[in-house]
Amino acid sequence: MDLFIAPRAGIWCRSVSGWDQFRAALAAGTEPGNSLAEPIPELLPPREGRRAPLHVRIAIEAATQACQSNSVPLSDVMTVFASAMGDFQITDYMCRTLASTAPMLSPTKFHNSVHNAASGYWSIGAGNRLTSGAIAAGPWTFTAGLLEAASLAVAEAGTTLLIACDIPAPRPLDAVSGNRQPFAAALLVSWQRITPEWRPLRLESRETAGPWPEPGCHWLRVLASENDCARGLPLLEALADQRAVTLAAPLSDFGHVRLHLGN
Amino acid sequence: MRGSWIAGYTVSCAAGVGIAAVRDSIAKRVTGLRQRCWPEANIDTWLGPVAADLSKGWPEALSAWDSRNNRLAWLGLNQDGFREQVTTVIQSLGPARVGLIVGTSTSSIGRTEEAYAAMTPDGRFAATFLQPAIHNPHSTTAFLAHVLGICGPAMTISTACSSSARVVASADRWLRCGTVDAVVVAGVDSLCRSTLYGFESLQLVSRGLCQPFDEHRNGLNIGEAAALALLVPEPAGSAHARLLGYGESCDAFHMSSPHPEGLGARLAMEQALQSAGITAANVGYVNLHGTGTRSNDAVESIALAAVLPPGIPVSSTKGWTGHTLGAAGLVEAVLSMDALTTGLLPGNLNLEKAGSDIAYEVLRENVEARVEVVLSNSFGFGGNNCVLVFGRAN
Repeated sequence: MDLFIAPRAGIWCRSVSGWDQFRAALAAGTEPGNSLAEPIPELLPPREGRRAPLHVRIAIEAATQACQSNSVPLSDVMTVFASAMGDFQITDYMCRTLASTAPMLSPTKFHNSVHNAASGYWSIGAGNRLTSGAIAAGPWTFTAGLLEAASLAVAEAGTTLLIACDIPAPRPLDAVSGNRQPFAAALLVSWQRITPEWRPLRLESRETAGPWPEPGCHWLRVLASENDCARGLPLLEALADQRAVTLAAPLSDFGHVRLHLGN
Repeated sequence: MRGSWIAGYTVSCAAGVGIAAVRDSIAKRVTGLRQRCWPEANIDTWLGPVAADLSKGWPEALSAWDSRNNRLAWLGLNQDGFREQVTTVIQSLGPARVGLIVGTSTSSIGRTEEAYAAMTPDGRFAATFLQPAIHNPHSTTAFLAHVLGICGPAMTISTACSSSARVVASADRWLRCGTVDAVVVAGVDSLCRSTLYGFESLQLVSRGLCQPFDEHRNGLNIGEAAALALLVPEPAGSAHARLLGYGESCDAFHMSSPHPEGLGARLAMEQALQSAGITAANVGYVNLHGTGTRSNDAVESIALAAVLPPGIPVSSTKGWTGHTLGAAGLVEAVLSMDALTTGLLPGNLNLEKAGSDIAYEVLRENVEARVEVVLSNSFGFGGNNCVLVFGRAN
């Protein structure tokens, strides 16, 4: 599949918010020392923004950054929300409450428990009625999300925003997931070159397995190993470096997608 | 758009295991719903547990994958010769050229609920529950890829109650983009405490049998199901139906209440008809989302009245199956396609007198009619809508 990718991505992790901070941190080679407060997206009404779960807030923060930094209207993009584990905090709340004999669930937390919660809040906040998917694919969620976003862009002749987001596993779920840090990234892909800055991206299926490519600096290698969706960081690094690159993104135990990012 | 061909399908739910049993329940107008039948939840309602004993027929070799949802997926996979059909296709195309997309809202969360209930005194999972592949939204997809030997892309779509309608649209795109040469799609959701107590907290659970579109309707009955279908890009010898188009939209209104004028539902239906290249007058039957809640049914009928001319047969089949949540999209897509095959249009079960807020006439009795085009409506939390259009294969 041949398509185009926007030159800037949205990103939120514990020390970096936004493309400019990410590029500065890459140039410095070390993680910024500051620890960021959890974002309250301006897209949501203030009360909703404060009350929305962390998973929703960082997904929407990254989504908004990607559209705004590339001057793409929020209401003009199809969306794919990719998350390997969904909202771990809500999963923990639900299962903990349900373990009692006469459980009383919060109706708000129940509707926030759907895997497409961030998609729902996004569509409301952005006033966007275009198709919005929510997917998971275990450790291969980033690649599957990119494939789905690319398929939408090519097959529907449009622009798709991919948001890949996971949050740390609370105890006891930390025994079954290695996610230890929050991370959200958002990438725009389109069937056409929206501006000359957009770069060609080719996706090719390959029938061999292999490891994830490693990010270039230590703190991003740690982040990639501590969040399923942060496995996609090498693609963000390549975007920031403005270099042509070929990456092998695993899609299963049996195959991967070769990503050719041009200039 | 003229899209993929449906080379095979199967469904297992409260109304029967396998398509023949479900057809029979529909023809005889026998519901699969039962009162207070699931000891795991102390809620006064009717439920739609699958019409089989899931404690039986589960191979010892699959014990690492054990969850109610995966057992249900296994049951569904082994009906109607579907597993054999997929095996044949994999042998012909190669395992890497076959993809898998599963729609589910809760996947194996039932097993995670069990793990919490059995936690050690210091708040950890007991050793038997240390199963990363199970406590995971992708559990049932990974399980089906494993047992079928699919090596192509495998993805879970989880957009609440539109999940397994969307799998058909995504599979069609994979085929049109040449990503793979065949796609197995599935919708699997099973009874669990999360959804029972969750819908109860929203006061959307009916104490009696659900009565979609009736004046006395007062909520839904939760069911469980596994539906599977095989999509291919060329007309296979005995294709059941053809995907003619689809529409996907968001309400952009509220997380758990539909847009009061059914705007998102209308957009999805209009987009579906447009992509299929047909007008509303060409539609022969619509399988409705029709959950039995006050707001869903009223809003869906408003959307129908805005899009369709009067007199097109439309009905909900949830009176037979219950609301199978993330599985409902594909269950009802299969029942819609089956109406093309059998010529039997299911009349809405438990509909005595339509509510005064219902803006479109709903079919009450079964009708025999040869139809050319069917629609299937699916709407979910988050305002996520998907409408599929199928036509005859020949």
